[in-house]
Amino acid sequence: MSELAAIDYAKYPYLADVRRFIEEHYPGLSFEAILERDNRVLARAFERIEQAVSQGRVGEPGTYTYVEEVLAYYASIILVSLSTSRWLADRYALAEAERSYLHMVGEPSETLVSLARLLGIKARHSTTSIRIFKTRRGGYIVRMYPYAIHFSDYLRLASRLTGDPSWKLVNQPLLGGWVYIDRKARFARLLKEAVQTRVREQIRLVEEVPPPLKPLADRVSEILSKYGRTPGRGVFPEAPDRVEPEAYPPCVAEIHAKALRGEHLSHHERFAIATFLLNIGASVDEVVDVFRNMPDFKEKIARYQVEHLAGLRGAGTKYRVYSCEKMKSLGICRADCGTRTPLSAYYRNLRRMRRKTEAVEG
Amino acid sequence: MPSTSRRASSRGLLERLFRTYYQSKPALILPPDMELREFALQPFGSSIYIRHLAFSSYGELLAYITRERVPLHLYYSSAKYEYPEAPNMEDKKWLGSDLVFDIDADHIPGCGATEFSFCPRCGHRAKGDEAGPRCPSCGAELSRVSLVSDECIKSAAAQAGRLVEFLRRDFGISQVSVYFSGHRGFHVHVPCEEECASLNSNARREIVDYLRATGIDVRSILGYWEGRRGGRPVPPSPRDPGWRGWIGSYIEGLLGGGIPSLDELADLAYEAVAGLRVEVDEKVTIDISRLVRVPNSINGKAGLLVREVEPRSLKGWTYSLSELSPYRGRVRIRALTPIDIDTGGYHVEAERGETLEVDAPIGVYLACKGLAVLTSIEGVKLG
Repeated sequence: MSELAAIDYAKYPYLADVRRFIEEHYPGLSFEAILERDNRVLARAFERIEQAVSQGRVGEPGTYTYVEEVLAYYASIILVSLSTSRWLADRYALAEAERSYLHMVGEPSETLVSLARLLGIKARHSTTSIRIFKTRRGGYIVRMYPYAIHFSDYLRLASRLTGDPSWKLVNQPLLGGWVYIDRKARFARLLKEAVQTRVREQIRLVEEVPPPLKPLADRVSEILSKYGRTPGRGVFPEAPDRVEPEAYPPCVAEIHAKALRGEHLSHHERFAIATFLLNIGASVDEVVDVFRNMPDFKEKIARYQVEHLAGLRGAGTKYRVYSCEKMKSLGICRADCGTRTPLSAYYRNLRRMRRKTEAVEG
Repeated sequence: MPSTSRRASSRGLLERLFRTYYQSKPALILPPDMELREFALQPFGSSIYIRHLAFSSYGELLAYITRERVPLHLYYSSAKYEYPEAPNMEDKKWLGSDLVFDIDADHIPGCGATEFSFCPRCGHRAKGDEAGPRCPSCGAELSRVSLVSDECIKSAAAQAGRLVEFLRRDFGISQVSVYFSGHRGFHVHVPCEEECASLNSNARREIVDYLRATGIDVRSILGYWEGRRGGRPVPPSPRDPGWRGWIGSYIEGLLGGGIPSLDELADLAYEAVAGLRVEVDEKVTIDISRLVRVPNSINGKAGLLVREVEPRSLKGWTYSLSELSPYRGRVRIRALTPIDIDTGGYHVEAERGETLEVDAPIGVYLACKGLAVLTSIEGVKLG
């Protein structure tokens, strides 16, 4: 393994070990104390969040220093986590990844390989090349592969990209377990996926919230409202362990009941219930079971179609649920849930149910 | 109903044969982390699987399958679980899965199975599955039979050999075990400790697509984009990474003196891909909680052992019932339908209702296939 190239944490702040970073730059001070002393850190943290919401990309720090930028990143993920908005958490992770991508395509290849390793990816530098074409003048066009990444990491990172044939494993130069990558932009594109996952994970894992940050959740909500987004509702809707039919919104509950009674369902009703169930974490088997009483049920066909909707077949697109608006226009909406999609209604109901149980148990 | 009871007693004989095999303490090959695996079996006389079993030792497993339920089919999970005995998937807590591949002879192009059904009571016979579940003339339940040619089983062996090569050369995976399935296919197991264990279904599908060359873009691989300004493509070399290398090895020696055009090269490359792709069964590989047959158990579809095969010997592998069966000696059988079969080194012809004495491997095979019933197993030995 070669030496790791020096990494500029201002560009890639999620790679810094925040405890060590603070010890190094503010020996003896706590994060809390720094926040109280330097309000520029918080100002930049809010700026980062606002940029993520409004532009989909975190902007450059401008006059903020290197140290402020790294600390502002950590303050910002705590604030995002405080907001309890799943949308914001996803958006922020993507916005950070978008920014990193722009930086990465400008880095020398050694730095990129170091970044990959710091992101936990099995990657290395490569000198592999193949002659691909002989030009009219007698020279060769050579395909150079400066990067190699282990196929298991490649598959993990490219999972959202393989709808495009150029990302499919079958079209990659794979040898001895390594996928060879020719262009920097493609290597950086894979790293971008890793950054998004890393930041999302860091938001999820926020545990300690320094007291000065606690009252600031409202300011994050204000940013969300300013751009027409619904603020979080106090709890992260965690992925439920199992499907909870009692939390189904009325339209879904009705289609589900019809299906179980063996009544005929229209194409749209089938699509609506299948995509809904898949999105709340039901397995293909569970969804196929819902259709079992249908008069025209054929297991093979039903399974094929459900797998297709789940993105397990065809181009690999996981289908999204109909919005409430769309359900209204199709005439299968039963009540005004006050949400954008039946999914949000489901999660809201789920949260209400949980709060009730907690109250009983507590 | 004399015929039903005779069939039932024949099933009893088959069950006795299977039990005898397991009582002989055969060397079942179990994963080193067997306590993390779910075991499952289909017992004799039931179409329902017993699942969610967990055993921590060979002895425990053996006691169960010889005393409790004799398995017609015996499996363990490719997945490892924190609680393998939990009755539903969520509670099992998935820890990762081995990478498994299945090559079945009837999935090989040009190798469809010959299928027919017949009525064990009146002898009525129908092709394929055109008949319903019951005999149109007497109403008894029909027996279904599915057969493939020996040639196709040998092709499956050759495909398994190529799969091993793909895994080694392209994926850098050399720790693989290859098993004859005990019926007409091959299973390839890759034990996964770290990286490959956590691959999800989608990632595993990409591996399947790679092996089957699904979605391959031959022109890009050959340099279509680089060659837009004219010139001639450099033919792929067998040393090139990815499918380009496989195409290179196929066309090596096929090219004459001249340098081919991209179109000529593409034609050869398509031919190479069609000839080299590996027909793995997608369903098996993408399923991260698949049940796989226990090596050295008996496959109840043909009465043959799930037997390990040296990857090197796959090319010239011969399909021989006497080598793959756990039994030797002689059995008596009665044909339930006219039989004219030539398989695995045996040729048997019989009229419906005819009783005949045959070698144990073919006799057990015909009984497992449902074409005949065992009437005497006194002359059977193990080994």
